[in-house]
Amino acid sequence: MPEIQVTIEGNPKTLDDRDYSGQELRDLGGLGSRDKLVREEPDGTETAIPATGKIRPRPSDNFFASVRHRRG
Amino acid sequence: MHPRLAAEWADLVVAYPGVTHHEQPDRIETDLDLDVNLFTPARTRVAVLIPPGYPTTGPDGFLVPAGLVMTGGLPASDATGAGMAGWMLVSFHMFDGNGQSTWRPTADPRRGDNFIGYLCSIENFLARGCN
Repeated sequence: MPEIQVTIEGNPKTLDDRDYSGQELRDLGGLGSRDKLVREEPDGTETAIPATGKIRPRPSDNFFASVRHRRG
Repeated sequence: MHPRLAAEWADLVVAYPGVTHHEQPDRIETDLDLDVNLFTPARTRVAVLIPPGYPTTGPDGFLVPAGLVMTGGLPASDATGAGMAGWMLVSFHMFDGNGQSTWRPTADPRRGDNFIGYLCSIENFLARGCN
């Protein structure tokens, strides 16, 4: 199966070129199921990847845990 | 249903299978599991009001049924004024440390901020003890 290179939580990862669940990507990044995993889009916006969702990672994708909320 | 929510709905149902839409006020509701060391009970209903200007205007806060208890106190107030008697409005905002909005939707309902991402943020906020 072809492979692609992505970054998860700042660490380079080699993935198979296939669909991944949000939980698989969290596991690869050492993240918990309630961490908000996002994919950075080319325009700088972030798309959330729910644990139950499935996505097809793209070469050079950057995934990370995002916290953009506040209490108060 | 708000047209943008309708465009997000199929993906939202996959991500949160129990999600439902309600009116008066216009909102979505779903159940979320909580950390048993922080909350009683350990599962709660959550409601998010849909602002008329969505998605340019993002949701502002969320509601939980009165009676949910968090160790240290839940940062919430009575939501009767929002048309949600029996619920509490939790103080939660998509702001940065300078009070600037971090809400970044796009024209594509599947990219950028949307209700899936908002519910993910709520889950993360609750898992962090409302921080």
